[in-house]
Amino acid sequence: MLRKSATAWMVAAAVLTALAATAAAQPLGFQAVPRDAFPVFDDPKMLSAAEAEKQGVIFDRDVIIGVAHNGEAKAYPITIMGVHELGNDTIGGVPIAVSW
Amino acid sequence: MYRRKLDDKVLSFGHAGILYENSFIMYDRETESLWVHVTGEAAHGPLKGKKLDFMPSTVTSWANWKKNYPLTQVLPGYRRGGFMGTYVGPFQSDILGLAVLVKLKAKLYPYGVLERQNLVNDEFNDAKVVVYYSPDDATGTAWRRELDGRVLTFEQSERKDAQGNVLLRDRETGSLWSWLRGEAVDGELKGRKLRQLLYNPILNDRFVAFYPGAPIFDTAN
Repeated sequence: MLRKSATAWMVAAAVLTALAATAAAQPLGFQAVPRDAFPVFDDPKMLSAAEAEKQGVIFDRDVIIGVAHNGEAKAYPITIMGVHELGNDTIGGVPIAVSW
Repeated sequence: MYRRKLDDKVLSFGHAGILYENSFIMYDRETESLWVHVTGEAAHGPLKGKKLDFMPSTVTSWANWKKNYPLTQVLPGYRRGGFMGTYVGPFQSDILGLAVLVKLKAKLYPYGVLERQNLVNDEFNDAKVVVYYSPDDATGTAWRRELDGRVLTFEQSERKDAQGNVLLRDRETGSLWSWLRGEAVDGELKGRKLRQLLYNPILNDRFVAFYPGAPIFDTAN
């Protein structure tokens, strides 16, 4: 009875090791989470300052990443960037990638 | 923040889920090349070796940003709350600083030092720079202080603008400047803008790991 379960554990360990080696290996680094696990945003519909505050999306003490270019300004709250991690947007007509 | 236009193409990015040297890797949907966060360089794929240009940005409090850019838009979503949403309090400033890049060479301005001297007229990598730090919300900005071939030297003025923002003054013309927007709001240079440098808050330890040997600002005493 004991011998059978020991063999089962050894087989399981070997299979898992093989799986881990193939699944995790990458040209660089390793696959920490599935691809596209983070919901990257694309050309998001933005809120005005007043709307954002009204919706409770943002408060005075919140930390934001701000970008201003060609007369346009946008704020990306780091709470929300924590959900997306990455997004595609434009600022003042210039396409940008926003990352956290 | 990166500009997505590369040569004649506009790329769009996805999250590869790959962790490399403590940062997540992006992939571009157009060629499936893999991009490294810190350098903006493609490390694998058809665009290997290409580098994205960075877009300057500022990490600051919503209150401060809103005051300076009242027409700003905001990314919508749900607040997660907790640590991610709170401002940097004084207990954290010991371990953080502002990394400033001039042509991809970096210098660190530790917040702990900037709290003793929050306006620095500096020079590194052959560029004259001005670094300003507001301890209220741990916001740092950095700009080139050369304009029309003239080097400007900044000091803190006793003046504030209509929104209550502290204004800087350049000694050469006496013009008053917004340190968050890098723009002269009064005086001879009114309306002129300084070139914005790339800068970001960073853990001081991380700066040393990323940029070994890079200079770190300190006051004389």
